[in-house]
Amino acid sequence: MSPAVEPLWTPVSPGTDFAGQLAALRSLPRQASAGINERLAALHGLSEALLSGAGSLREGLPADGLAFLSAFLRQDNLRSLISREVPAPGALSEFIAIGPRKSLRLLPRGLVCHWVAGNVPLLAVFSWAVSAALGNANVIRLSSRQGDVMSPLLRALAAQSPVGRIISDETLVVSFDRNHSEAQQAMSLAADVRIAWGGRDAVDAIRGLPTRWDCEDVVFGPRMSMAVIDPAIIKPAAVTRLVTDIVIFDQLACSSPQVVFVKGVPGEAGFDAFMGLFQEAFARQSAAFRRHGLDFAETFRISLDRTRAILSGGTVLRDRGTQWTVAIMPVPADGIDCANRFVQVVPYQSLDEIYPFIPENAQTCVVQLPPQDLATFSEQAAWRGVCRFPNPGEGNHFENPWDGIGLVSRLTRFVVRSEAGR
Amino acid sequence: MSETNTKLKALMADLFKCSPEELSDSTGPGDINGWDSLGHVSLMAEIQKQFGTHIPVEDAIEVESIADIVKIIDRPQEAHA
Repeated sequence: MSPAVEPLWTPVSPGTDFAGQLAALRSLPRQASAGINERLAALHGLSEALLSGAGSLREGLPADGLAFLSAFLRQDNLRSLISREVPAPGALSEFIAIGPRKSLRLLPRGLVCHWVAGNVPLLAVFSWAVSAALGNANVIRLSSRQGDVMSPLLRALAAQSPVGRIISDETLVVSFDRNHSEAQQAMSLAADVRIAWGGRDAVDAIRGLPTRWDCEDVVFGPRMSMAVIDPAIIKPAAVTRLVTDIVIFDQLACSSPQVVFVKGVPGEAGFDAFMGLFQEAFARQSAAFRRHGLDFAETFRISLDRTRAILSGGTVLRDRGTQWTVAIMPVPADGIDCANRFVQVVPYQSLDEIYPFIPENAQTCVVQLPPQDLATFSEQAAWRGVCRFPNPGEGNHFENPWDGIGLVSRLTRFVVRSEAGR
Repeated sequence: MSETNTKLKALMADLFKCSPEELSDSTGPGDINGWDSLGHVSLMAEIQKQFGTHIPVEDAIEVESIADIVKIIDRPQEAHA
């Protein structure tokens, strides 16, 4: 049996020199501490350690998130995310010519402070990994009501290599109550970049804190996601992947579809065949992925929403308990809380019927459409706010850009130089 | 059976602690013990080590069978910046 993990995180309380810790991080000489390639290699090593399950590394990490995290930390994956945004990734190491007259150099911004949502703590690891790869120091504030996902990772990273140790030393994990205004302000004032994950109240509270005039804000706030499917082209395996996107994080992730628009009409062969596969996949995947224990209020809400769906003219497909619910609705019903494996299916015949129902805070739209429909729909839906159009199964894979934000640009300073003699 | 196919099945038999005879070209994720979501990432990592082939997340998600993996390994590699 592995020994218990000593937490690395620091509860910030009266008497803690939090401001001093922040100042120390800001003053770290990062210039030559480690280059981008060494940092990516260290994070790759962390992925390997996650896969091997060495020591107590997996303790405190949600099982379903491990696969996402270990895939995300692979060197090739991180390199791909960076190069997707930066025209000359070599500029992370040295000045690189961009055209005949100018060269570009990308440098870390400095100290990046992450405020993590209590309900999805793993998300912080994604923004931290990108930030650390780019050479920033990091402060991660965990909610006082969540588990410490970071300490096992930092320990493993430090044990991997000298560069892993550097990244670990450049990361401070803290925990304090959201009402601890002194700690909140100190962290905000120290930040060169503030990354806020969470709901409306949480991100508003962070944005309201005093900050440096040149601080960059990255807000991953409350978002809604959906899917648009043409049964004529979707394969059974892709139906399963679509359902996995809905089921895997109990729709706590903002990228989990809540409404699925399906081309056709109930009673038509194609629509009904899709719904048969969809229903089977829901039952199968709900059993395959463990769910958090529902409290009384959540259970009651599911029962209430099933009734609401029926009273709104919908047809409810469900299990005998409250494991999963598929409500086939004439239009999306606002009052239904699409959470805990409760999804609305809305038939459509023309893509134009969908646009009015795209919410202002749309994030992800999982799509499986013929090429021409995909081109038409994605252009229109992007103008209405949708930020991502992944295939089924990719819905919850954190990628760059996310929420329409290119992370590399926000976490680096772009330095430009005219070439000598020009 | 191609060299890639044989080598891949040997790798998978070792990784998932099963016999190569249990693995057919149509065997897919979930069909054998250990080939769950984390096992899938482990498999992709092993493929990169033994074949030198990076399988992007988007492709890894769409893998439905051993035959799919063989096709990915044997196709020309995408260049990374």
